[in-house]
Amino acid sequence: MNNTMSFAFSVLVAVLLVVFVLIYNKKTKNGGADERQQIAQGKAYCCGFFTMIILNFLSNQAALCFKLEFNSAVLFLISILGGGFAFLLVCLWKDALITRIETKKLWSVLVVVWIAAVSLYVFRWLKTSKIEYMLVFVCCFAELVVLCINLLIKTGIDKNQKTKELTCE
Amino acid sequence: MNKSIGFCIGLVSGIVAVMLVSVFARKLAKKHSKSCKEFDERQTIARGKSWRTGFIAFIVMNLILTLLELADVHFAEPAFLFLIETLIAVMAFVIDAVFRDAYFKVGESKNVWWFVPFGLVYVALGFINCKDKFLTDNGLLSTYSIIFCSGFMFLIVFVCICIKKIMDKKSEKEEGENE
Repeated sequence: MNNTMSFAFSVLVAVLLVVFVLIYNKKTKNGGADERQQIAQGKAYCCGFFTMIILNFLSNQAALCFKLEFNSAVLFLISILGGGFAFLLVCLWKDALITRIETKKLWSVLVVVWIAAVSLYVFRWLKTSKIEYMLVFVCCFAELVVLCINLLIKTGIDKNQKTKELTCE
Repeated sequence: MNKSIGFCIGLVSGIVAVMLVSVFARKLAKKHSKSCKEFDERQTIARGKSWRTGFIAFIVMNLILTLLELADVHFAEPAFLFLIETLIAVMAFVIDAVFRDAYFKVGESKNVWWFVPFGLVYVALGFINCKDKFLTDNGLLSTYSIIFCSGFMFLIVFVCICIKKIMDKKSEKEEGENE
């Protein structure tokens, strides 16, 4: 148990994060999203749900198949990360992300929590040099990078559309 | 190693086969159905919220299992854990959708009596299959016991649909009395 204290801590952080987002969501009545965005968010949740199931299945099977001696907590965490990532990506491309997390305060809290959780895994990885901690770190990092790239592409496309509309007018 | 790879390939091909057959059957049913039954806008939004419930249920289940793993509490085989959390998440979605009036399409029949024999058959199958395999040698719940759980899931969903029907009838009566 002592060896996995940081693990337990990061899981608790994840729980708190979920509770925080839920409370925020309740307070703002679905983040102030309009009808179209609510439908898009529903589709994003559906996508995230199935991604989580598929990832969970694949990671479990991979661990069984190749007899990897992974802590199954890592497999669970990877599927949660994948599901959340799919949800965020679909929301982003359907223009339904910004209302959900609209204040800068919430964004900054989420980023701080993310960095804290990832740094815990890096710390464990450096200390124990176990591959599973590195795997979680790589997943987190790759997701963050892909999300940022998508965000940049999306804002670029939106800007282009706006300028096109303005020139047409 | 070879045996487990064969098992995995079999499992994946089975899932793909079921998916292909269901997609094909759905397309055929759509082609031949005369009435166009679809979810309206309110239902689409409500279903989105139900998906959110399922999504959160899955995350919560994942986190609970992670914490149990961290606390060295082992009560079931890994495959059982994966299946039971998927079942519970799907059940959360279905029950939420039922109570939000978003499980059945507009104009679709709400007769789901076949859930009862289906559930009972699963429970019976579970009983036959799990007679000696309910627990493994290590005292862990075996993957076979998931058959029991899926049978119970059908029965629980049926009960929920019945409760919703009774609630709807009551509210209709009250509305009629008020008018």
